[in-house]
Amino acid sequence: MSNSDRPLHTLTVRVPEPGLEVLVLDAEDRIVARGGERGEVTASLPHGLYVVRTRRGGAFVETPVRLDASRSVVAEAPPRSSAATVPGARTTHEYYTYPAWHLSQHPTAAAADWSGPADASLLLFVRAPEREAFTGADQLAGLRLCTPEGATVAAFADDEVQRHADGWSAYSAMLSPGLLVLEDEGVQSGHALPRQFPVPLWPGRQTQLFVMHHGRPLWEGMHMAAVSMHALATRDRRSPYDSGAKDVRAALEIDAGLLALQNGATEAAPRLVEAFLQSKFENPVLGLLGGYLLLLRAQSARARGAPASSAEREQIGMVLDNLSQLIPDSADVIALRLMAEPWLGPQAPRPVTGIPLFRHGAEVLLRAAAGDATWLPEGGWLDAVSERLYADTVWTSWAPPKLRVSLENPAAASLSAAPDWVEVAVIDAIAAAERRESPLASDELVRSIGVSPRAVREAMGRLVARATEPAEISQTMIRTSRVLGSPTTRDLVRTMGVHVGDDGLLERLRAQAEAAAVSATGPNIHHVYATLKKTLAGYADQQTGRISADTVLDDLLRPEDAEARRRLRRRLARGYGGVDLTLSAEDLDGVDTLRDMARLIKDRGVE
Amino acid sequence: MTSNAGHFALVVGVDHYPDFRPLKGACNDARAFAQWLGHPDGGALPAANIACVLSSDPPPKPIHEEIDDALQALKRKVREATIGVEARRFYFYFSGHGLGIDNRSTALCLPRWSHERRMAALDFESYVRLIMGWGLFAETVFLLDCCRVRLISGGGLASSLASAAPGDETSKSRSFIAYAAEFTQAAWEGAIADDAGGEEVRGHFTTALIAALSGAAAEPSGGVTAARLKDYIETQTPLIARAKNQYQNAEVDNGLSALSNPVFGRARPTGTCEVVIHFAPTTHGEVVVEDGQLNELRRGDASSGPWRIAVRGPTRLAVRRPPDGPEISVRVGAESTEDLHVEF
Repeated sequence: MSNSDRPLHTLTVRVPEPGLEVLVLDAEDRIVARGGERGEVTASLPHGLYVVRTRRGGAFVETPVRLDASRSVVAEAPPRSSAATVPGARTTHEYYTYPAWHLSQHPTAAAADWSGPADASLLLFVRAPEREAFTGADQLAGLRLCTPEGATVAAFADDEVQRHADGWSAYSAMLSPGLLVLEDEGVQSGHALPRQFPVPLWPGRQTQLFVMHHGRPLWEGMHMAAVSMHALATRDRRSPYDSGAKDVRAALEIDAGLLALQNGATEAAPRLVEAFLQSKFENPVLGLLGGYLLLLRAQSARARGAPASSAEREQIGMVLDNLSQLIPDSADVIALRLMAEPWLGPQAPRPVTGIPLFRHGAEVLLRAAAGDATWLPEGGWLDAVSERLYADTVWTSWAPPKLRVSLENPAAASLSAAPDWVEVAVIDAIAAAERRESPLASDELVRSIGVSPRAVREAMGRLVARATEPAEISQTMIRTSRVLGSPTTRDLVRTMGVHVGDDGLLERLRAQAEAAAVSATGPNIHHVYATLKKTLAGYADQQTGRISADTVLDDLLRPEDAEARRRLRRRLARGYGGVDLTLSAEDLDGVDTLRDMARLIKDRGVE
Repeated sequence: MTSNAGHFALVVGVDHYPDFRPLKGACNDARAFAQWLGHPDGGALPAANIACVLSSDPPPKPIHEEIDDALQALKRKVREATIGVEARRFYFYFSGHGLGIDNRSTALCLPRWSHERRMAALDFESYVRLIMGWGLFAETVFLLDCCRVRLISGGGLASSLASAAPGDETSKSRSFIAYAAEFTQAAWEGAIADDAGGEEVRGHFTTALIAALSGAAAEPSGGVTAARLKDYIETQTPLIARAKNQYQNAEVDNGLSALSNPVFGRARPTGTCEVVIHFAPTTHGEVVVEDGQLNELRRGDASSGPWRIAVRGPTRLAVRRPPDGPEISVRVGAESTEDLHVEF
């Protein structure tokens, strides 16, 4: 029976939560219907077997449907994993939920007023996926909390933290508000990378960091939340599983938002913005997540040619205004305002000395700085770490500037010895532009590498300085010097203000590279022929008017004219930089064309 | 059988990453796809129209220029080989490590890629622009079996080839772009059975791709439509990955003309598959087996099992206890024999 002969039934699919992607597949696994923005599906389909596939992030689950009559089906939700102990996640266990809930109210360490009164709070909760997976590792090894200047605020010593056989470790304390750095030295496994994160501390709020640990802290999936002290004060009378409570609901929304931002699933934006609205604009993490998703969604619609509506403009303006009031000095808010320019109009560049919590914000600021360096003043936080940023998480994180190399930290040793990747990228980009014979503007170069203008300028300065130092001749050295001496580099050096000493240095580098190439590889037949052609140009003008590799020498020079031959030998010696080629009459008799003559000269080791 | 003289392909497979994590299946995948391209029931491309670049080490190759050299040579061949025929389709296949730069840009890592040489990669977007900008092909097909994760800043090198101006037919050039994974997500490889009864490592995406093109997604009239290929890759890649306890969702952007609905290859639908249904000793009483359209295939007492039923895969079967008893719905692949174990 063909599809057209089979009776049609209506299939209605509802989803247990918004933000799920829904597909309906027929028995042959053809996609016959897709969920709309809210995931729900209503489709008229032929009698048969179907499957409803629902997806969140990478995880999916299938619900079989027998469509022998019109049916309404509630699809299953895929299992959710979260570092946070949020209700409903398959990784949420009572033996983690209750300790985390308790420690959010009861500090494990003394208050640290590192910069003013300690009226903010931090909870760091590191846990295994489940207690059976806990290997007994020290989950906080190599971690410390420090100021941006590097002074240690907490080293997570035994008297500052709690550890438990179920596989969790925690630190909580009252701290001064501001931006701290959480550093992981990367000592916990062979794959751990040394890394630093900004940790915001807001007055009257607790910043909560939940991190899954599996061999090492999995920073990629870190959950960060901000909970008001007022909400914390009521926790001893509430259950951590009460999804209706504002702080628990916010944690669930943040989880969904982080997953959406990680996957570019901007359909979650309205839900996040609504949650921010319902929090009365009190939750900065929720607000920032909602803001990024809202603007990414608006950018995507704009790229498809959808016209901007006044409602969209108002919503963007409302979210940004409230964030500006809530966290006025936040680098994320400045990045969001930059993203909002198509809707809210341009703004004058303003120097950003801080660093965004979200990597997307860091990338927006770096792109802006490629066109106008005012955005990132030299020595500012983001400028200083731009060439060390990681991109494997939604959070801004970077390799520490000075790694404490030790036997326990081989990864740090290898990173310290590694060549500077920005230098390699600069050389590659300029070489590619030279090959294409197309100009390379400084903003294009900076944007293509994705770091700050300062990082590129300094890399170019280091390259030039290193190229002028005595070094063994190598193909890398020759290539680098050739690229540095290219017209593209000379333009970039001028426009970016790279200090290179005297004006002729770059041209000399190129000449040195060519000379080094000769000494490394022997004379180049093309160079020999080019010089020969130039030297004989006068003869050609007098004789045939044209000259090529196939030109017969006797056409230029009669064999019986001894004086002309003597003059030729002298002229060749001058042409090849005063080198006595010692070409005898027999030598000249033995060559037929100019190609033969070039080979003869090359064989004498002259270029 | 006529060949597609107007179809051309660049196939790149990179297993060798001396300063990064080597792969095991990328060259296998590239070879398998090149083989499909050259097969009369596959892409039916003349051998001269396929450039297959596989990695080697030492020295680590291919480098950026070698990819561009291969492309340049192919472009020259187009002019020579298409006298009297229409240059219609270009396939660009890459299997190796990849990095997602953003939703549109992907860096295709070459063997010299490392944390230090972060730009030793092809800037995929620039290659799309280049090949489509030639205006030589009505259809351009890009197949990328690589990750799109973001680990660190980096990018890829644009092609050193460039056209002075877009080709005359550029406006008619349409694209089909299949990514093995969604942006920020990983693509995986795993061992599968090979034709000789052993095992070889292959990428999940290419496994789905080759299965689809070899008949699992074929139309009764032969060949796989672009729309069906998109569906198949997007629905089957996650299943292949899940069987290895991995997550992987392919993403296919089918920009080919819906009017012409282009067809890939000439493969016929996969043949009949025998399903053997084994009932648990505790299962008794009447059982019904139905096909995907709810046609009854077999009815009887479970004690008469095992039942051998011929079906055309891939499809689904329902096994239930009538009239309103429990029911299970099972997916049947395209293998020659499948065993299902049923317990009510």
